[in-house]
Formats: sequence, structure tokens, C-alpha cells
Amino acid sequence: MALGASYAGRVAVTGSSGPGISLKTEALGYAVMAELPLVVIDVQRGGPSTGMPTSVEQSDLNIACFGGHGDSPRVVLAPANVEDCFYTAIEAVNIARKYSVPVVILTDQAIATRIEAFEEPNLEKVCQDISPDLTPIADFKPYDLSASDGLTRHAPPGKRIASGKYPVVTGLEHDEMGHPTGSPKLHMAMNAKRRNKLRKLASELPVPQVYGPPEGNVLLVGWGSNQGPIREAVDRARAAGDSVSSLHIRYINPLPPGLENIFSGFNHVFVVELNDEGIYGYGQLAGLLRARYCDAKIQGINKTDGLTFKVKEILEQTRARLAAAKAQPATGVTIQRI
Amino acid sequence: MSSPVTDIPVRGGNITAVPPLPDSERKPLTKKEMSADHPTWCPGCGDFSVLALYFKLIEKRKLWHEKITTIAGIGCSSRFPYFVQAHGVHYIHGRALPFASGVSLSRPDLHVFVFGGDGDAFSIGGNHFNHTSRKNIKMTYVVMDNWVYGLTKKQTSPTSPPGFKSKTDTWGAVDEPINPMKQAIAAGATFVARTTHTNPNHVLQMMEAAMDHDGFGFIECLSECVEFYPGAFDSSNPRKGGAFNLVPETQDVTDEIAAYKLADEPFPGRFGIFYKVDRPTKNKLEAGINAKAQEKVKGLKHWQILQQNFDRMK
Repeated sequence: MALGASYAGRVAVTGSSGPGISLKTEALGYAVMAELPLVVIDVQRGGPSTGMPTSVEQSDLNIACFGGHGDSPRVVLAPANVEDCFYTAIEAVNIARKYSVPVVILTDQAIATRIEAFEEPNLEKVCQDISPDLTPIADFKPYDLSASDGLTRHAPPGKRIASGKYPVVTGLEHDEMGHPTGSPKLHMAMNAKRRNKLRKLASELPVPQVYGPPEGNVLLVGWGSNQGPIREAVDRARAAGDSVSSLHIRYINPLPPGLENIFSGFNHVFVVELNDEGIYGYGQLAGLLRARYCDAKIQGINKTDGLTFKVKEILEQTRARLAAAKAQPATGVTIQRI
Repeated sequence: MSSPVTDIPVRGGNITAVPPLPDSERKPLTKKEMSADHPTWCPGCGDFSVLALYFKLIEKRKLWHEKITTIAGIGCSSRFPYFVQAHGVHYIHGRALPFASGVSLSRPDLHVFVFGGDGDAFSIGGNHFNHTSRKNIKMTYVVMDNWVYGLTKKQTSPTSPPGFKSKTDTWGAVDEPINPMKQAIAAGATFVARTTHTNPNHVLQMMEAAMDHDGFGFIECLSECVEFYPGAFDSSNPRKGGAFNLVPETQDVTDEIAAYKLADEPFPGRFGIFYKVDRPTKNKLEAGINAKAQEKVKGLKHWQILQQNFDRMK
């Protein structure tokens, strides 16, 4: 229904939690293929399946980034706290509409049930006209492969096209007017178009800032609601004389630029997240970063007890991993057991 | 918390605008103007009838080109939007109705038409059919029922009769089929009609009546699949020795039980409007809620309404 409203030119937002996202992946894939703007809020909770409905977890990163069959690239953002939710929502709508892509906002039960005070935003400045643009146009192709910016634009119903040639929005692979095609060349070109949108977005993202010195022994990487405990862990560790910094990632897919430079400044990179260490000993964001940067020093600090990280848990786990690394030099795949 | 991507996007991008078309220059759309891709249907397919009559409806009622929205799911008949030269959507299997609901509810200025087959409507789409019917969301839904899954080359559909041999039921179907008319009545649809592709005049009549109905207008249109279930509807076709029986003139179309009884008649059954009542549409009810809420904040800009909420939190 949200996609119907989006197609009709409205700003469309829908929300759910894990199980609902599983159900929505079919439509998410459609939004990717048809290139329809959509914002999907996923308030993460204990999974899989019905899981722990009222406990915090961060185990939907994979489904947010990859859920659904086929190569289906979509944008994933993760706000760090309540204030960030406000601005991420605006950003998500802008990205969705500019890039004609679904945007998943990964928040979690901890942020969702929290109350925070934050600096009052300038509402007049951030609000924009979101009514459908129905000005008649001469002619147009939504999936224009020769568009200079590589982006797709849609003509919502009610918008007259003077040439009399109207496009179709579809989940089938299509030509520039949305008509079905099995053409080998077109499928490759359209896949490239959909993927290149995310590359373009990535090039426009800011390099995230390290909290603490930009070089040192340990970099704690976090996303979502872990920002608070991680920062405090850094503060306490540094107060005790340890060389620890942290990095908070808000753009999960595509990743922001500059991460490899940041990682190269540290001996150890531990990704702190509320999901399982999995078969190989690292969690979901860690997996994404390892795949992207092919860096085996990226390890995981994970737990899935349905509770937020305590600062001491992060510090204990960091010490444990450092001790294990000292005892056994890194050989590539090291399974860390808690 | 600013970044390049929080910049407000330019409306319309780089698409050149043209002046609006004055009413005096609007003429009824011809078949040529409404035609798009040549249909992918087999020669003799019943769906051709429905497409031709859709064009006739548009021409007859002088619908504005840009206001027509054709939405479909997956299946042979769901390819409809590609064959219509107007705004259209080819959505995912079984879910044309919720998509169309999103369009209908957010855009009261559009004509929303939904097309599909028996598989899309009653198999995977069954749940959505029930809810869209009871919510009475304004749109016209034509289901081209051919008693088989045609696009995927002959599997049993929810309306296939028992004994029908297909690739999924090589020994003959065992399941009791759904009765679409009963289903629609039970689901609370406010307009329930039945027609067949072999009677084009009647199809047009039903489509007009459905379009005029302020609510969810459902039409079951028997539409022969010449490839995978030929002759299925011969007993309803006078040209093939069958009988085309209209709903009796004496029928009270506001009587739900009478409609259900009518739907219970053995095949070929009756054709025409089985049930038609006026009930507030979800469109109207939601608009009422919106109007009431907006009355409280009349004169305020959107950002000012949000500002009020923020002020309450201080």
C-alpha cells in the first residue's frame, strides 16, 4: 500500500519489526527493481522469527541490506540515538526521492523506547513541499539510461505526458519506458544503473569522524544504539591509559568512504554489535566490513541476551580479545569464544 | 547533523514542463491513442475482449488520459497495463489490490482500475481480496477468470472444477473450488457482478456500472484460456450451444442473502449485477478523519503543526 502511495507521488513511509520486514522483502525487491522511493523503518528486536518481541537486538542488518532474491541494492541507514532518528528520517526521505530507491532505517527497541532531550530543530527550515508534482510534461522516460546523473524519475499518475506515450512501472526487467525485456544487454545495463545509484550516493557521503585519537591500538566500531556505551567505554579506557578510539557508522549500505584509511590507523578493529558471532566469529556489520575491506583484523564483540551493552561488557570483551590476540597471532580466521 | 544528502531535492528534476491542456482541446481517446504493446495473449484469448472494452469505456466516458491508472499483479491477464497507453503498474503476484489501495486512498482525483486473473485474485491474492472488499476502497476490479494458471502453462487454480487434469493434478483436481461471487459477497464487497468475454456488450455494461459505483466494484469475467482450458465456458455461450442467463429483473440487488443464493446456482449460473449497495468508502471515511484533524490546525503551515507538538514536549 505504501508503494501505491509512493507511485502516486506521495512521500511513503512504512514501519515494522523483524518479522514484518521478512514479509515485506518481496515488496522491497519490487521497489528496488521498479525504482520507487520508499522509507521502511525496521525497529529491530530479538530474532529470528517471532524471537523476543520486546527485547533489543541488532540482527536485521543482513536482511535490511540483502533481504529478497536477486541483486537488489537498497540504502540502509542506522540512527545512533533519538535525535538522530529525527534527522535520519528526513535524510531517508530525501535519499529515497532523489535516488528513486527504498531506504531502510534500522533502529532498535532500545532507541524506540527511550526518551531523550535534544536541541530544537529549525522546523521551518527542514520542512519541504512534498505534494506530488503534476505539472504536465512533453515527453519522458523514467528508466533513462542516458540520464547524465544516472537517476530515475517518475511521472506520478495525473501527470499528463503530451506525447501520449506513458511508461509502466514494473517488477519485470524492463526497458527505459518500463516495458518488459529479456534483453541480455538491457538487464546488465539496468542492474548497473540500480547499483551505480548507490555508488553515487556513497561518493556524496561524509567520512565518519573517529571519537578519540585517529590512530592507536584498538578501534571500537559501532552502529545504532551502541554509540553511548561505546563512547563511554572509550572514555574509561583512555582514562586508564589505554589506546582506544571508536567509530560510529550511520550509513550501512552503501558504506561511507574513508573507512580503510581509518582502520589502517589501528592494530585492532572490534565491531560491537547486538547480534550473534555466527559461524565464523564475527557479527553482521563486521561481516560487511570484512567483505568490503578484506581485513582479517576486523573482529566482533557480540552478544544476544536481549539487553543493551553495559560499558564494562565492552571493556571486558576488548581486553579478552587483546589477550587472545597476544596468545595466538592472527592467522586469518580466528574463532573467539566468549 | 547535516550532510549533502539532506539537501532538499529539486522537484521535477530536469524534465521540461508544458502548459496544461485546456478542456476545450480534450477529445475522447481513440483506440489508437490507448493502444500500447500488442498483447502477449494467444489468439482467441478471452482477455482481448476485456482490453477492447476497456478502451471503449475510456472513449465513451471521455476519461482524461493522465487520470487513468491501470494496475495488475502477475499472470496472463495481469499483463494488461503494458497493453494500455496510460499510467500503469505491473506489481507483484496477488498484491495488485493493496497497491491500488495506496493509489486510490492517496489520490482521490484518479480513476483506478485493477485487472488480474483467478490465481492472482483468489490464490495468493485471497487475503487482499477480502480486506479490500470489506474496506470498500474505491476502485474497479476486473478478474478474468479462466479456471487455470495460464501463464505458467496449466496448473490447477482456485476456481478449477474438480476432476480438471493439469500439471499439478495429473489424476484430476480434488479440491473444492472457490466461488468468487460468494467470496465477494461474504467479504463485504459493495458491488458484485459477473460477465463473460463472449458477450462484449454485457462486459462494457458491467464495467460502466462498476466504474460508476462509488466503492469497490468487483467483476468476475469468464475469459476462456484457449490454450490450457478450451471450452471451459461453452455452456454459458449461446454460440456454442449454451445459455447466457441474466440476473432476473425481479432480483433485489441490495439483498445479500438473495445474492448469495444466486451465486449458488450451478454453472453456467447468472450474469449481471448480483449485489450493489452504497456504503461509505474507506476513502470517504479516512478523508473525514483527516478533515476533522485538520480543522483543529486550520491556517497553520505543516511545520507549524509539528512545532506545536514539539512545544507540548517542552
